[in-house]
Amino acid sequence: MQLPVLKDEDSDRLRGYSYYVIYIAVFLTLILIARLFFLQIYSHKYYSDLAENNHIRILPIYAERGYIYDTNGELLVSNQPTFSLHLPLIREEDVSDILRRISEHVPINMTSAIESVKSATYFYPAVIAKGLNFTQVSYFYEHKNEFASLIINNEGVRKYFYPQSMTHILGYVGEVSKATLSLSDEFRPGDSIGVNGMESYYDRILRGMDGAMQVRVDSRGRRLGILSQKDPQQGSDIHITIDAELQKYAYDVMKRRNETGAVVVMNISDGSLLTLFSAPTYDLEQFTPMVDTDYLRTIRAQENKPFINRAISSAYPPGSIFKLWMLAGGLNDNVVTTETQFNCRGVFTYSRTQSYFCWRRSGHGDVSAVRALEESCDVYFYNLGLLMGIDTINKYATNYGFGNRTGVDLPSERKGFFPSKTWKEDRGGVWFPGESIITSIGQGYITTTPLQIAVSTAALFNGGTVYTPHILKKVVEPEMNERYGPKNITLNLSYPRAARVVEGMNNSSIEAVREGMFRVSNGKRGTARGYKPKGVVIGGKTGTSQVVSLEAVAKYKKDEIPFNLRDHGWFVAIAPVDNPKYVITVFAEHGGSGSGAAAPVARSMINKMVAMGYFEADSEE
Amino acid sequence: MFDAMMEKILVMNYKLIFVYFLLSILGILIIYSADYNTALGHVNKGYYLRQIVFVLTGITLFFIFSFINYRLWIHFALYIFIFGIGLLLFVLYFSPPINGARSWINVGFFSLQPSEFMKVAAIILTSTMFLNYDGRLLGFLGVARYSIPVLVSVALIILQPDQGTALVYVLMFGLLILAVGLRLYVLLSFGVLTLLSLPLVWSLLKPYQRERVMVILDPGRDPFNAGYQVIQSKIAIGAGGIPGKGYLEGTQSNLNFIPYPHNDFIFTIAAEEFGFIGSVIIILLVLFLIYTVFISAYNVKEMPAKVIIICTATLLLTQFIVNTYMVLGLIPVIGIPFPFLSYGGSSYLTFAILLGIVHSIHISRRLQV
Repeated sequence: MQLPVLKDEDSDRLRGYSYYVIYIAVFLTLILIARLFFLQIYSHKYYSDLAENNHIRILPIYAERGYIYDTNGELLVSNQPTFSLHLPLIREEDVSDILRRISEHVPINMTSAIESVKSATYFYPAVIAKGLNFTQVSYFYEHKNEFASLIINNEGVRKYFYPQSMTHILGYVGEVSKATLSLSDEFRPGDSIGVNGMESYYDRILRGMDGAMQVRVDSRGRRLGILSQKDPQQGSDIHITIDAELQKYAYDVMKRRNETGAVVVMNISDGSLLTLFSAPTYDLEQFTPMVDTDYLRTIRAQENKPFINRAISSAYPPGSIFKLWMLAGGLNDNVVTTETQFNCRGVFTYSRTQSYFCWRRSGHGDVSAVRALEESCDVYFYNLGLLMGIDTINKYATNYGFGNRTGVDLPSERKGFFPSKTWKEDRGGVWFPGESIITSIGQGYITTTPLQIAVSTAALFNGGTVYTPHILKKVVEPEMNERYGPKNITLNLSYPRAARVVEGMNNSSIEAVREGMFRVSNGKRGTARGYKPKGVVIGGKTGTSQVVSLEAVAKYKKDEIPFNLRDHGWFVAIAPVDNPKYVITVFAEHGGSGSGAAAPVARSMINKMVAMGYFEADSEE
Repeated sequence: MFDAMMEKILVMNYKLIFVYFLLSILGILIIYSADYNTALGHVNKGYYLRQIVFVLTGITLFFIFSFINYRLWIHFALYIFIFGIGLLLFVLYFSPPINGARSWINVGFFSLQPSEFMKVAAIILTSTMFLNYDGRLLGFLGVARYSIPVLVSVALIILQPDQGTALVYVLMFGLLILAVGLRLYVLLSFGVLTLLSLPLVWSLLKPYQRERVMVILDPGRDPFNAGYQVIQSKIAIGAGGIPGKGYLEGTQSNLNFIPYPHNDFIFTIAAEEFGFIGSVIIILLVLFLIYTVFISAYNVKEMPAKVIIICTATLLLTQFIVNTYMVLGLIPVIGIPFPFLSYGGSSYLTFAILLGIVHSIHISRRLQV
């Protein structure tokens, strides 16, 4: 093995050039030695004193978390001052002694406190207790000498003004988890972090940046003075689009009716949410000043799962409200016209073995588009679905947002699901026409969230814009401490934002859907005619979605069906119907039926909105 | 067979081996001290034991690579490089981030850091590109062409993100092309370009990175993180004085004032315990090693071999300078280990392999094979 060799003169030339590197090396080393001379000889005494006579501790100065306001500027969350106790790494035998003496005055968890102190360092003390009030720590102030190395610090904790109705939107603040600590060097043990809701989603904005001070302490750990200090950067305040009064009203109505489920009120023309309520809720008061772990365990174990935000984090079959998009799509693709009639005799027979019933077993007779919505005739939609085929149904549904996250600015949103032929074939199955038939009435594989329904409905009536729903109205930054520069925020905070625009919808299809919805609430045979609100004319659509097959509940009498097997109730409304401004979605989990459980809640909500003046501008026009 | 081996052993570069061994043993001793708890009278975590394993493995690798003809690596340069790229992609996609960076592959006994081993692959591929070098000074095109292996590596390392290691690659390459020789206009334009790009680089830096730069000018502004380490490091070094506090007697480092002293701040421990005299001796040892490596390039006629030697020397120089400047508070804290002294398998083994290859070039030249 040989490689080409250089000519001698080239080799010599290279040798000459390579001396530059040696000069650089010598030059840089001289600087290095000069620096060492400065530190170790010239300034030796200064540093020696610092090392021998003093110890340095680093204490956090906690940044105040930003406040949260509702759309009218009403305060939802603020802070209240508390005290925290910190202990640096000290001799092992002293740890349990001082902790024991501390525990005589305030409740502390001995095992975890010992563990934290052991993993602490001299310079960065461990947090051993948080959320104490002044009375609790006053003893330590008075007996400073007995608790020499103990450090008392201030920290603000959350104070909630709507601890029940805002639960899922706000979330709470907890201690940063071990998992998060190992993933990021942004946090230190004992730091606070937002958990759930906005506190989590907008944590970076709300949190601000903790400051720190470097203090000199003597050999017993008593503070001698501050060497240097970095001021904390207060968190930004957030204003949200939620109307606290309306949200509270949703909570009251759902509680009074003892419903589990969700209520969503959204502005059709920008996707801002006025209400996003999920029932049951839990009590935020139990999460401040510190998370009550017993309470947390209790609600986690509860069967009705209060932790889940049912408006976004759980997906359900939509039932008959899906007929809105069926009709819009069918008319738009000219599969049917508004004149096309199908005959309903209460049952639709696809083949000798496959029959599909209408909810009204006696049948609706000859039914055309608008009446099909008004009376929610299943047989009409079975026919329509079969003519459209799953590919066309899927096209319209996914265009309007089914099967995709809405992108709402809250954590843990579910996508829901919309089936397609390829999806089934990819899994080795075959798409049966019967599956298109049940998809047409919102049953089968299809699942959706109450928020998704609101967004998709809004897109029908706002000209086709699928907005990204949001609760963020604006961020109000505190006076920035220029020295530390702006924070590294990667969230897109600009709203309104359109996720997609549905193109090519002709007006007449949408108008037919609107007419159908008008008659649901106002027609003489409308499925929600009994739940007309006062003061505004609305359009609506009821939906009742089966949780289990009819056979499974056949053995029970109607009002004796076990709660978990009862149908879900849905109601979606647009108000005012001729020029919709708001979409209202109510989901009643196991509520029995759309008209019975969901429509009354929607009516109460709209009546409240009328009373609050939401439709006033409209009446002037 | 036996004769051939004896021949090789007779022509080995004993100066190189001596300094290399000496630095490795010093490393173990200082790591022991860094981990030593004065109050308890014993070491806390036992890093030195693991470092002994790394050193023994490294010395074995050094001799294996010394006795393998280095031309073999040049032959397989591209495959070695592709393998290295594979490892870097692997950490990017499959490794859980540690302290926010995806840089390590956990292999049970220790965590492998592909960006370290990539140095070997990048150096070998770069050297291969000089195979038919015609001896002329480099123009823009030449620089661009030869920089490809380093730039590809750097891009993947920045994604981890590990800007510190990426910077070491760039500086190593910069010194290489300087040693090979640049046309005057290239040299001048790089100089001007560097000055002009400073504001741009500044604007691209993340806030925390800017903060680290600012901390150098004013350590008090961030007593929490980077500034804290620098302040403590300076106190420890300054307190060491001329003779030093003595082995295992360094209170600053042993009392946990400096986080992870066995790693990037190993020089702080040495300076505190061995003082100005000891620090200068260590500095001279490292310089002697770099010089020994560097001059062994002079009588080599094959350009790729020259390039491997120069790269190894400039890599040693870069890491040595960046690390010591960092602990002395002259530049921001960017987490670069001190060659051979810092605790860590990946860094140690990488340098052992590179020295082995350099040594193999030396043996080949002496035996005229």
